[in-house]
Amino acid sequence: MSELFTYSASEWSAIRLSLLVAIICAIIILPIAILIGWFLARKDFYGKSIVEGILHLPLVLPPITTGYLLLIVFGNNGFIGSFLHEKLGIQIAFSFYAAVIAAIVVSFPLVTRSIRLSIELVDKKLEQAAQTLGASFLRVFFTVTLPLAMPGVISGFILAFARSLGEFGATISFAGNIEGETQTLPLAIFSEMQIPGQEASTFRLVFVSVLLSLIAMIGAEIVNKRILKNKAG
Amino acid sequence: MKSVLELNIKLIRKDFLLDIQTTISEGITGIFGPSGHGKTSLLDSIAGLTRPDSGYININGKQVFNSEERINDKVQSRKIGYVFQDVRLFPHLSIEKNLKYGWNRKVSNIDFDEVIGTLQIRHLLNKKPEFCSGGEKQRVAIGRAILSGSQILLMDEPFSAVDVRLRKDIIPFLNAVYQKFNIPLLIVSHDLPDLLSLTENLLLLKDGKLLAHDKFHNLILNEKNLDVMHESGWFNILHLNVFAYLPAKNMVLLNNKSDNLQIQVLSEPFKGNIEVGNEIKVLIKPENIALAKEQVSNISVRNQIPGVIKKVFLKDGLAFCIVDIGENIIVEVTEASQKNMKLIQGEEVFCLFKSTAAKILTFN
Repeated sequence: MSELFTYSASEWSAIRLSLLVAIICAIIILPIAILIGWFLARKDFYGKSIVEGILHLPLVLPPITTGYLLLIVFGNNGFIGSFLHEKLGIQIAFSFYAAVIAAIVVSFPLVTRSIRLSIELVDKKLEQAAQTLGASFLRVFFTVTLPLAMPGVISGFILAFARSLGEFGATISFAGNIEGETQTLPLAIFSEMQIPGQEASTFRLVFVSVLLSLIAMIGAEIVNKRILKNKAG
Repeated sequence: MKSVLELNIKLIRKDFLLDIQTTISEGITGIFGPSGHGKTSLLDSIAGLTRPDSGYININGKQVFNSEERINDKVQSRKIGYVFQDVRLFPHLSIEKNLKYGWNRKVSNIDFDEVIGTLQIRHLLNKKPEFCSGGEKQRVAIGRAILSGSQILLMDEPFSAVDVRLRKDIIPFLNAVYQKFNIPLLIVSHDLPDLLSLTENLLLLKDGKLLAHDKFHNLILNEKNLDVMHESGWFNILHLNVFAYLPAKNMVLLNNKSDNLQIQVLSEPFKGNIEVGNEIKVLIKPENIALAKEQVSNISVRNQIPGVIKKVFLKDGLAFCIVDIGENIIVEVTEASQKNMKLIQGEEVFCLFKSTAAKILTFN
């Protein structure tokens, strides 16, 4: 039994990599999603529906399509990728960065949606009250809007983390399946499944995958309960 | 008195026009008008939450809005305290943090302890707003606005945010706030009796327009004003001095400054301290006063005050007689009595009311 749970170096590397990608993705995504979520919640502008449509696109696109489009943009011949490669010597595609970017793009709509909804629920009248007390726009945002939207921000963070952990299609097409560099948990599971006789290894990785997802979802559930409780009180 | 607010604004909405021109002085000013006649829009314009379509707003001589010169100061720089009808305490902050939100300890000359003492909210400091009663929240909102260093305090329907049974409880606090911190108060209400308990200086709004801005005893001389005011209910306010207090008989004897008028009222249930020489406000409802052409003997009614009818307005079978007894009061009789007794302008009459019909309001 103990042998069943002895993880090999490459398995550990996949777990570590997955966690790293998920955490970096969630941290990078949060400020951007708060900004855009606030903008969509509080501002009306011409063509808002189109902007919203584009932002939500990765939610419905097949992840492999998203990966392909990322490759076109960030690949060594892509219009951003070629610039980075030629001028700065940075290669994005098929690197760790690519795994992070793929995770960010795929989870972005989920996070923005969660944050936007919670900002929409913050009573604008409270923001007005803060203004009459002399608070500047930024102070109102950081002391009233953001704290009251915090449950949405936290669940957005968890969503970004969880979605990144499960990301497969965009990663494999844009970042590749390179052990120790871009091979995250789902990719490692996929690789093990291709090789006959690797059932134990597959099981170990599946076990960790289920465990991490479960922890994230229980965390999200606890936050949701707190939101409901705050509302009722 | 010093003017604190000069207004000349027009606000055009789809089915509504607000058009107000007036100057508001120090002290407590009541804005009275039926619901939906532009009172809240007026406060929002002053605070900067709504932008008028044209005109100007000056606060203590400083222009904060002028459509022609394209001046429109931000809400946060106007220094206008606003106590909203729905109170709007920050639900995620403790009462203490709510109070200190706009307070700058280093710059402010307002003492935190004095504010929470005056408003009796010291025991709430560590609570969250959700655990406070309606009246407590309202006092916190007032304290929060004062502490933010407001030049004027705007209050939207302060009598309606709390339980009907307790609504009058806010009145002594507002009086105390005005006297301690000397902030001009601009109070909006659709309830005239509540407003009158605080101030006789009134602005009447109707259909978004300023009908009048004057003292109550002058307002009642105009029929248009009476039309707006009488549906809400009202009462007369007499300003009198205590010249004798007989606690054993539950009786206070009062006279006016020229000493040609003496009345007696019950000292109960007024709970304040009554002292000889103090000025006192006494409330009497117009329907509780009767008129006689001469003094009546052999009657239990003790108060018989001579006066002259200044005006008579007829409405729905009633006659509102404005009688000058040293100050103008309204007396409500039926149109039939008015015709029968020939109560017309210039007639000398006696105003009769029982001691129990008069109530002591407050000391000034």
